[in-house]
Amino acid sequence: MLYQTISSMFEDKLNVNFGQLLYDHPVIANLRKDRSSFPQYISPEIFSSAIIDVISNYARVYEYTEDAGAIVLKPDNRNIFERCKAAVLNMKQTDLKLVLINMLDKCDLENTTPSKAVAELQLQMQQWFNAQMDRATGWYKIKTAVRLRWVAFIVAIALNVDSIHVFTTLFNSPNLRAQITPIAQSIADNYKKQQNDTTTDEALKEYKAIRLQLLAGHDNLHKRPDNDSIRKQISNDSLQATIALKNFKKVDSIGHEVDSIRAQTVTATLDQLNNLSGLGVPIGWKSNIAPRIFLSSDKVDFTDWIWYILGIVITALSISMGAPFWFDLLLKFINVRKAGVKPDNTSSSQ
Amino acid sequence: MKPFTNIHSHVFTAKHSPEYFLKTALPDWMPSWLSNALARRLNDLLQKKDTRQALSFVSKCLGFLSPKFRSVVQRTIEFIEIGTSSTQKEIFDDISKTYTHLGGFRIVVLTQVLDYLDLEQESNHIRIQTQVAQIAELKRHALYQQNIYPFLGVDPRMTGMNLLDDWVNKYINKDYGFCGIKIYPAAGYFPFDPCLDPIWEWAEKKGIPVMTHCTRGGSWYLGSFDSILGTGAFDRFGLNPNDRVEGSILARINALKKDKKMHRKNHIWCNIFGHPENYKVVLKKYPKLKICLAHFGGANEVLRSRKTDLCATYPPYFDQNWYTEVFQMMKEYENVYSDISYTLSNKKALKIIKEDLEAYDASLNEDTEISLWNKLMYGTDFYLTQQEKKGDEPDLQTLFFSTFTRKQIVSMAYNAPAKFLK
Repeated sequence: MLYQTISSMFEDKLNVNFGQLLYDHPVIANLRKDRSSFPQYISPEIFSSAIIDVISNYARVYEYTEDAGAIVLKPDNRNIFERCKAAVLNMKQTDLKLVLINMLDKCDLENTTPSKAVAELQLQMQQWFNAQMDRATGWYKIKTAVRLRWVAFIVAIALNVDSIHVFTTLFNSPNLRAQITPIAQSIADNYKKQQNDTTTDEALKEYKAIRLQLLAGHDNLHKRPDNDSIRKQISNDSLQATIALKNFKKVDSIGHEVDSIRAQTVTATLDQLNNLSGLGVPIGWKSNIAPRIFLSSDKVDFTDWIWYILGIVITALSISMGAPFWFDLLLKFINVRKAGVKPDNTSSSQ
Repeated sequence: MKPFTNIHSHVFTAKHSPEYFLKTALPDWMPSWLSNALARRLNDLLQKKDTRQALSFVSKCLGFLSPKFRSVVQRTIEFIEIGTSSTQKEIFDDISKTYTHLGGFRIVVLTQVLDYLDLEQESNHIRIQTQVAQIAELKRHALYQQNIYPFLGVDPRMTGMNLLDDWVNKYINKDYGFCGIKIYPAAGYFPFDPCLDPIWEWAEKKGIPVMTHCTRGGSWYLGSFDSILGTGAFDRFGLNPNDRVEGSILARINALKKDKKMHRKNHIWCNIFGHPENYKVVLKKYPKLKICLAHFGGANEVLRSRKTDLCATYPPYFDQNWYTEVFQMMKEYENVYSDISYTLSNKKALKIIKEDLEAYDASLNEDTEISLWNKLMYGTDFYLTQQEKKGDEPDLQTLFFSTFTRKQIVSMAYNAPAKFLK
């Protein structure tokens, strides 16, 4: 996403794409995890500094000299700002060229010295980069939402939850409604309890803090230090290595703790789904529930399939809205249901 | 002493290919909308390391059932691993380290115009301008400049610039270090396209070598037949129907236009762009043009020259054998060269080439003819051969050194390239 955004900033289909050349710049190339990856994050400061380098380098002149038998850099008295300007002026006429020329002109007009002009250019580049990154965040969210919908669709099919069928079954069966009400209530209560429970959040905060501490001093911020690097540290500084090892153990134990809490939540949810299914809510791949029942029945027509698919699509869309949305809605319903005077058990039994 | 030369290699990455490039690997019967979408999705997936690791894991698991399948998948993954490197420099490092033991060496790196493989589709890949700028940087790098010999990708459809002044003249000189021209007609144009005339005239005058892809395989134009040949405006090429060669080319184009079945088989109909006979039209105008018809027709054509029953897959108007055609042209034209790149990965084909050249040498009239060993060059087509069994660079070197005699090796890897690049 970052690569695509930077690449599209400098794409005009005619001139050399400075955004793509940026990834050959040593500062950017060193941020890569391995030879086939691109940096996951580039700060606006690093971006602006490197892109100015790339543009100004493009205006450098090289020549082949017989004496050296090699291509060498021709001496050049122009400063970095002037070279940037020369590189942009040499571009073929496109909208991008105008954007860059105007940017350079603004810096030139407002500043008298080259160093101030370069600083201003860096600021302008950073602003442009930040604006593009804001857009990229929006694109990323849309992309994630689309992916989530696909995942939700797969989950809806895997669990075979046809919302229309579930709704009609509950609507027609007061007994079933009465039976699932306590389950819904217990789910809502659990959710509320979990919302107030800060154990996981605190554990995660602690995990992140220790991890940051561990990564401090390591060149590659994306990589967790491996055992070899710890061994190297032991040879250099045994005290630091002992602390690092201790921290690793702590990180691992926190990780296990968080994992076990999450596993418990998943198990509890699956149990609740089983309970619902056991009570007769039409979910799961059972022989008496669509679509399996369609295969064994003669009375099924095309519209039944359409209703079934529509039910699955509704479920998928509902899932893609996310668990917090539905839990909050459930809580509100339960609260509404709990509002008012509690029925008197004695009088109702009479 | 002249340095050992690999005349044919590539270092462009997957990011330099259009996002729909993998359509090349999808079957012809697939509807366009599906193959386009699938190709883009595959491209996205294969560029992710997780996908490659998953594929590798699956191949290891299935390897117990079929070692052959495992080896094919592993080779494909290795090929993709190189192709998905983030810079061309890394790929050049990969190839150059396999030649370091030879002392002085030269590697010809062919930049390639991949921007027009489908005129109807958009793609956000690294275009030729940036690909060339990256290679120019590499050529200036003190560590590489003695070893890298870049060729400049040219396509008559490049717009927004004067092809000769703003492109060819700008880069092909000592200061930029590009030393030849690379064309790839199978991408959807004829080498005799009038837009290329000023380039050929200039190259002939200056003795600049031209490398062209000349085999039935490889990649090809991926769009619809109608998007390039539909209008049938061949008049602009000025081909004369009464001329023997030009008439034969026109007949082939017209036969294809009538053969509706072929219109979806891009890999076959693109053969009309890359056909060796097309270069005769260029050579008629520019007889001194130094041109290398790469791959020597391709391994399949070399094998087909001995086994005529292999020709059934082509319609009659495509049936001409490219290997024998290139062989004839090398004899006929003073500056027509060829190389054994990619074909080198096929041991049987290599043996036939050796036998044929030796037989030609034996019957050579030294007063009027020259030995073809001085016109056939060593090249590997790195890293595209990675997909072949024993197709990595050290294996190909071993095969080369073990197949040919010392004299032949000196001609192919030292003398012929030196003459071609001069």
